[in-house]
Amino acid sequence: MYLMLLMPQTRVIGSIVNRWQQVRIGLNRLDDILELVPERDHEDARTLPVPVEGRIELRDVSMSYDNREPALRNVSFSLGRGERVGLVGESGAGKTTLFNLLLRFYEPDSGVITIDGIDVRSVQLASLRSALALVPQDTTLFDDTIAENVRYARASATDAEVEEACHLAQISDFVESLPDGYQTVLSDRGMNLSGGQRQRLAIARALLKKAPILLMDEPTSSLDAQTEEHLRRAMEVAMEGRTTLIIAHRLATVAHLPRIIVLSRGRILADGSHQELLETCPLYAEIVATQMMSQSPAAESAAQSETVSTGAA
Amino acid sequence: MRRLIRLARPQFPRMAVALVLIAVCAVALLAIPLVVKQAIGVALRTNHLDFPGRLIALLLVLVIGSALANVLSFILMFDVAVAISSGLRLRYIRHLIDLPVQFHRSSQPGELLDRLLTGVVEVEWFFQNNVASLFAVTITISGAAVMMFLTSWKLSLLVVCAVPLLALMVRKLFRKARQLQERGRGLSGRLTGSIGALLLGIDVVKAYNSQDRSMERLTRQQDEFFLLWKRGARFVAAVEPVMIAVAILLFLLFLLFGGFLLAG
Repeated sequence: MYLMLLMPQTRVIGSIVNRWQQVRIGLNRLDDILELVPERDHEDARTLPVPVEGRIELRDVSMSYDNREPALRNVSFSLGRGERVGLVGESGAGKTTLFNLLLRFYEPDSGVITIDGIDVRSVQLASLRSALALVPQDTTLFDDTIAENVRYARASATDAEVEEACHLAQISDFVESLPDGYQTVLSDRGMNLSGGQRQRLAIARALLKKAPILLMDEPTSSLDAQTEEHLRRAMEVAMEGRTTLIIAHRLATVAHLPRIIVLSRGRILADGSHQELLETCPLYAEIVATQMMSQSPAAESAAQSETVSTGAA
Repeated sequence: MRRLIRLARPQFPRMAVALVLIAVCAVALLAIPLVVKQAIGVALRTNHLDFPGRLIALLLVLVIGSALANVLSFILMFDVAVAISSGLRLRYIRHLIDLPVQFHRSSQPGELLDRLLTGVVEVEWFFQNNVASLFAVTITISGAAVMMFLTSWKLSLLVVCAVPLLALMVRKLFRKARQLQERGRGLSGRLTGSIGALLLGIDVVKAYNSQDRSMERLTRQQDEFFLLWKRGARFVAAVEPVMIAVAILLFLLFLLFGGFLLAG
């Protein structure tokens, strides 16, 4: 009789075992990821001494992605406190790789990067990244209010500080024209905003962070000429006292900077002012010539027609 | 199993209450026929249907008690399942956030989300629906085993010897099934990843009028996935009857042995 009681349990056990198999597969697939080593600080990692001055130095830095051709080869340069430098060069020259290394998204294969004389590998990631503000090429906005999107840079920032950052980034007029102003929710991740509006929000975010080092990857790539001019003036104020590296394809963005570094195939080709480079660096002169040709009246008018839309958020 | 126990550890108190309630429910349900039997016995003895109030009250307590225990245990196990799956989900997301940028640049977000969704849903379903059954089965089997041992230790010894053999066979068969299903899940993850990438790049798809080409690519991937998935499902479908057939054979063997013991 008890054996008979056990019989129907076979089917129940079968179904549980089958479900258990699915659970095991699911857990194995999660474990594949959970077992990967997260970003972590070295045991003896320290914080950058406060206040961070923002001096940057690269010594013989080389780096390649997945053992491919090196993206950077023996790059060395230094930036003083508050210095502003433009980075130019063809695609794949290694400009963005420099940012990846400064933020320690990747580690160099060889060479040393220091901030205020301290090797960044020995610095706690949170401390290092709090000293850097990034304006990426593609702006990421989250499903939240405009104010919270900007506040992403500094959670403790007051409303007044958020508004001030937006004002500096030349986006406050647009935000205040919206029915809910800074409380407007970007439910579509800001996809209804124009490229220029998105980029200016990203700049406002970077400005709010008040980091001593500013990294900008094509900050004006989506802006029309008029807004770019406004923004440039605002950036002049914002960059005051901050070490700034700006990647630019449009030379107009960096030509006014006191120093420009020309990169080619992962190497520094030239380093100097706009005028010096025009005289000494054939590649730079070529880029200038090409861009001047492309900014003929027809091209300029085409570029102007891509003006900032005032689409609702 | 160890991983599941580790996940469930913070929920042990709630699980314990839920399992006690399941046991109460099972005992109550088992007691109801006894009470009814006693009531009928009383009716037959006294020759009229005037059941004693005490028995009716007991019957009511048992019915209402088992229903309440059932509802409470379901709610508790639901809460346990949700708490465990939420914890697992947040742990996975936190880990993803903490992984290096290098990893994210070489991964497909859709594939990572597929792992999260399928894995967490499986765990949640298991705790919500299978833990209680597992518990009930364990109680039944343990009870039956104890009773069997008390009735005939020789028969119990035979069962004890046969069960590991059956378990070994089941383990081997299910390992094969798991391998097939695991590969299937991998392909499903890739498929979800491709769909995610397609939707992220929808403007490119449309600008190049490549809707049909994209669909062809996805259909190919889906066919590949279903082929493997079907193979896994068929294998599992074939394994279950085999298991039952073996169990029946063993059952017959035990019956024969039991008969032999009785005849002896």
